[in-house]
Amino acid sequence: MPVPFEGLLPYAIMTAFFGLAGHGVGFVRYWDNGWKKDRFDLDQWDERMMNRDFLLTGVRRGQSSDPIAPESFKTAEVKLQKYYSPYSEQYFSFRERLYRGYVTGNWDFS
Amino acid sequence: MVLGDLFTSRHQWENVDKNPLPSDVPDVDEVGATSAPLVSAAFYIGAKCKPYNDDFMLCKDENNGGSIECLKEGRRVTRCAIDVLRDINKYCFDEFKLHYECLEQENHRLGHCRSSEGVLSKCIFNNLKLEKKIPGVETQIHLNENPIYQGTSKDKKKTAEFLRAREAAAAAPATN
Repeated sequence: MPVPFEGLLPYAIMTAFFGLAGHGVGFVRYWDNGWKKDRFDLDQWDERMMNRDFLLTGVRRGQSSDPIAPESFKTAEVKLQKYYSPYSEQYFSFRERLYRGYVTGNWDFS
Repeated sequence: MVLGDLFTSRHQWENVDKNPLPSDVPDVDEVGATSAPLVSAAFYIGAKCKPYNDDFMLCKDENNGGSIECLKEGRRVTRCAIDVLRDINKYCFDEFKLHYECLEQENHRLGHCRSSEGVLSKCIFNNLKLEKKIPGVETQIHLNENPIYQGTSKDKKKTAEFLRAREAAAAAPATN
């Protein structure tokens, strides 16, 4: 006896919604990166270079191949200001996990 | 925003160097290329600027990492890198862009962008006579015909498209 299609409807719905959620998040992340894939497994050098890119282009994940930086770049700097918030040391954004290699298993426990 | 006015907005902020270098130190431009173009051009910068870079590192070694003593050598390193980048932009702008955009998509992993890298290296060798050579290895991985990481299909497709457009552009004036 074949399974009536009504019996499989819940699975179809589950698959559809899990797919929608996953691909939706993927799409938002891709869009948020300026239509580029995520960076991951970043070390200090990479993060420093990404901050430098931000100072040069003014957008996250922006790239430019100009040989000479604008004059303002020589003195440009970003100061990271932190404010107190409880559990701020415990929380961990997904992007941070991806950057540090937690997701791909290249986590540095040192 | 009363508090904002009081604590942040009332500060005048100006992007000027409060402690400029003494006037006997010549001015030098900063390299303006961002990370992906620098990764892409790194081996060509290395090929062209090896003497300056070695000189700089030697100076650092001799002066206990001296940041004051090696300013002159540092300026030479910067100028040389700027020169190479300018040349690449002048002669191989499109190939360069193809490669560093691929790198930017692929987390800056050179192994995933070999197709566009081949196009770029060919252009750079033809125009600037610079060759990528990885120091201190047995096999030059970028010359391997059958590497483990074959590159992404997207990179291959874009490179093929690029070459086709290039051929079409080259053929168009001939037919006219």
